Amino acid sequence: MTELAHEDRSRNREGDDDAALIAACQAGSKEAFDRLITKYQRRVYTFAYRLTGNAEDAADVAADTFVRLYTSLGSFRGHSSFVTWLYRVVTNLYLDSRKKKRVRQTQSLDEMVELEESSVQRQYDDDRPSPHEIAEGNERTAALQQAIASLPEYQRVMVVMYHVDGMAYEEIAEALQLPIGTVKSRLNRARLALRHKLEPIREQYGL
Amino acid sequence: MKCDRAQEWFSSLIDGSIRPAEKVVLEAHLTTCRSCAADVERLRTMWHALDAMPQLDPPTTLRATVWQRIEAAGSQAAAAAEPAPRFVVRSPRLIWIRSLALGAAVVLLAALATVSVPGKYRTAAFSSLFGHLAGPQRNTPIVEATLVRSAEASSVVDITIALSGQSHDVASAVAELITGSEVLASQEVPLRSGRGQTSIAAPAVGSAELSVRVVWRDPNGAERSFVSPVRIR
Ligand SMILES: [Zn+2]
Repeated sequence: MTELAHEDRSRNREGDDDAALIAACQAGSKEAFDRLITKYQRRVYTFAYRLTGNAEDAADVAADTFVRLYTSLGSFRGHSSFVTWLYRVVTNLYLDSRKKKRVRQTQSLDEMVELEESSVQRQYDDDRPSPHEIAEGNERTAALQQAIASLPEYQRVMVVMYHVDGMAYEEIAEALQLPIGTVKSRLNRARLALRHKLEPIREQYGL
Repeated sequence: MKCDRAQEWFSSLIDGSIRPAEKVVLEAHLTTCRSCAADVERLRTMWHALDAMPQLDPPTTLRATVWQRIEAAGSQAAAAAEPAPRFVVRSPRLIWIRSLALGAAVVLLAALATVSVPGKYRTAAFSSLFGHLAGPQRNTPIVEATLVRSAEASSVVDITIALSGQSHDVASAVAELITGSEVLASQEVPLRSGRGQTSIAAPAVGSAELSVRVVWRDPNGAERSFVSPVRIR
């Protein structure tokens, strides 16, 4: 099993490691896939938690993400980096789960590109994490989490990608298949919206 | 400069990606507009607070849940694909193999399909698809191995090999049924435009591990092969 060449060389050390790991997964190694889970489960779970705002949904989305990876790794050809591909999968699964929950508010990743700004200015009050779900036990973080949860989905995704996961604008653009300028301007608007939401509790939490 | 125009540049001011010319204009506005200046500072504070949000530990059961779901999806797909299964396919990899083949297979796959036949060895059938990476940027031949019959120990095991793919990928092919290092049977796969099919009959080997090996030559004469274990118990 030596012919697992990828078309694209990965950009960095981590990417190289991923390429080898993915090649092993594609060759049928369950052990390699297990290592892939171990390597990314924290990032994927945190991302899912910040999006969904509760532990149960986050675990569900995270698990489904890895199942989806397992069944579709064969079609991964290394045109994009593994991480951006991974985030595209999580994001789509998250949006799908939202769609199932709220049939009326249909926003797939592709659709959301088309959406008018005004049509997504909704708030989801029921997304508030219950106190016991706030694993970090930090009131400020909890307030931020709650504010993020009240953002429209596409803003939420971008804010979490950039700030929580530390993705670069380029990576977000690749994951969401949007022009980088669009990502930057939307993120700016998302931050302004988030700041506006936090204004009433700004002094209380030192924000 | 108007405030709403200034706002569009707040993020790029904070992340440092603002163009020098824009920065001059924005900073001039900030020195005269206390509201915007305060907004930038609050945005900056929020920015750092967001960046400091901690990573969270996933539930310890997450990995197990993933494998459970993969397994469940595998047996569902296997059940859906077989009209009247008389055995249990316990290979989570089966679904991967299928989806891989459907989505234009990319890599060499060694597939392990465990077929549990209740009681004695009865007629059983399952199919699995294997893909092989012929090289970068080339269409890859798809190899399908179907175990047609697994009968009593004295009877036969038929394996059907179907090679398909782009005609220029496969020049010739041989299918072998092997157990351990022993080749039980070998059969040339007759090819027409790079596609072909054959059956191999061999004495059933009880619970021993069987493998199918397919060897082919690409048009450059390079020999390529894969082995896929098929365990029958
Ligand atoms: Zn102003």
